[in-house]
Amino acid sequence: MIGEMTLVLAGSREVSSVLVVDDEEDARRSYSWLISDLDLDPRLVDAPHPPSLEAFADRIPGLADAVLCDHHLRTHNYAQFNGAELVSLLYERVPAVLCTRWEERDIDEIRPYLDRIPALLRRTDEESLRRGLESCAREFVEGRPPSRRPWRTQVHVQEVERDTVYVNLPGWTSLHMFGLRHAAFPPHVRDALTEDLRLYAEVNLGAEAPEDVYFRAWTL
Amino acid sequence: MTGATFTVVDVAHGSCVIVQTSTRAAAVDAGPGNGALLSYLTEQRIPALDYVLLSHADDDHVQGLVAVLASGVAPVREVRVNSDSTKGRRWASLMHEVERATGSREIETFLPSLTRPTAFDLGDGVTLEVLAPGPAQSATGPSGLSHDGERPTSNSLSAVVLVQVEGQPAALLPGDLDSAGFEILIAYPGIIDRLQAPLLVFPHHGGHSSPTATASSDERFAEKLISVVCPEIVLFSLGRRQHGTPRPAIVRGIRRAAPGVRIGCTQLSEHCATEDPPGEPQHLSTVFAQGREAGRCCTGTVTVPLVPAGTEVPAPGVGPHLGFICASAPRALCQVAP
Repeated sequence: MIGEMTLVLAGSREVSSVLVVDDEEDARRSYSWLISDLDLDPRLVDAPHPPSLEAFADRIPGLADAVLCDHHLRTHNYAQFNGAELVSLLYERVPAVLCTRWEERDIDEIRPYLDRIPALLRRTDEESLRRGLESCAREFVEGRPPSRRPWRTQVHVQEVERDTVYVNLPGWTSLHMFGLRHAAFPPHVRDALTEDLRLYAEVNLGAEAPEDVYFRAWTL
Repeated sequence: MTGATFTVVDVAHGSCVIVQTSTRAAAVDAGPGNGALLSYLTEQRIPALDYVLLSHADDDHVQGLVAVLASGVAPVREVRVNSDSTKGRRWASLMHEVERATGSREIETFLPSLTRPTAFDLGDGVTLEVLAPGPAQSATGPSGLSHDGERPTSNSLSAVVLVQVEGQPAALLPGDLDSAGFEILIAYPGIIDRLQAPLLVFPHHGGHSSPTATASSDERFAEKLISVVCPEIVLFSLGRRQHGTPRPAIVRGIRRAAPGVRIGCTQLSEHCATEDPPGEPQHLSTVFAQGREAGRCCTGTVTVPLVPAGTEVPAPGVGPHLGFICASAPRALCQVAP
């Protein structure tokens, strides 16, 4: 079914086609029905081309007005990158929502890119997709809403393991322990990481749930 | 008119009041750790806080200061707090930031007590006066003494701050004062006559009045407090669906003591409407409110001019706010007749 409607986002951005990027053929088909239900035109990507992340991202604005992308893209060698990497590269270029199965491992993988992912879909239904695209377009025009605004804040290291550093945020509502990979830190910070260290990062303190929290701009 | 303002910032569950004059700004409590105070200070272009008075050591009153000190958004010149180191890791994190800021001379004064008699001059005739706790209470600390069989908590030792304009009471901020703390306060000679104020930010967000409270004891506490303070406006600083506040018994007690009092809540209590209001809120001012993005506001952030007693100030429950209540929460607690 070809979409006949145009969705107007953030008051002025018109979307009539949505690119579907997912390594599962059945999922692509199911997303296409969802997009058709919004009277928009689904455009399915059978294989990202060109295969490199940057080149494919550069090509997307010419392929569709918006993107619906799954986080897992590497199965069956569908892509050389994951969805978080792709969607974050589209920031301020094309409204792009990321879908995830919402497992803790996925969230840890997505978190380093989260500051450039305005919409992480917990459910894939028409309303969630429409709202997700609206959030993207609105953030591109109006800037980050309070829940995604970064503030320099204290980060308290609780435990340093071989692969993961566990930290919490004394200036944030919850005592949640965030597991961050060593690679998430710049080298000069990584070398200094020890238990009970207090350091600083820009964090969206207005986030309500741990899965929405991002860290960036680390300093000692 | 002084041009000074008094703002109850919608910080969700927690408390933060900003008192601003033409030359100075003070925060009485800093709200929880959700960036709300940072957003408000940035939006209102408040360059520095001359005083931050933390009524007691609960997270929903102090965590916002950890965020402010770490952010560098607004330097804080003086911090006073009723300390309670038993609050654990979060308290240690606050002290880390305070030590860092004191060491770099960003904070000029830090004192781990906020007791009677102390007053802070904000200029333009506006002062903040601490009415409780007394120094002996503060020195004893939470859980160290008992009153009527109850063991006071850090809430019992919550600072009670009176905002005055040209010597006249304008607002009373009792932090999370509980029934034990209130009884100790009014027993102190000469204090009960000083508690009257036209605006009251209700203690503990309208939650239980003691760890062992029942609906009837909550109602009695509210009735007695309102009878003493005699406010025209009562505000609750709360977070929708966070702690079940304000308790219906508390509102009943308020109504029993003062049937005509205006009541407002920063966010819409689940006791007033179980369904979220549809669409974007149209009744709010443009000032930052933590609940705006998720559609949780009732009054949102409330700003009133600081004027001498007897001058009429904008009240909740009228105009666009009343329209919102009629449309979204027709069974709201504030609309129920006593």
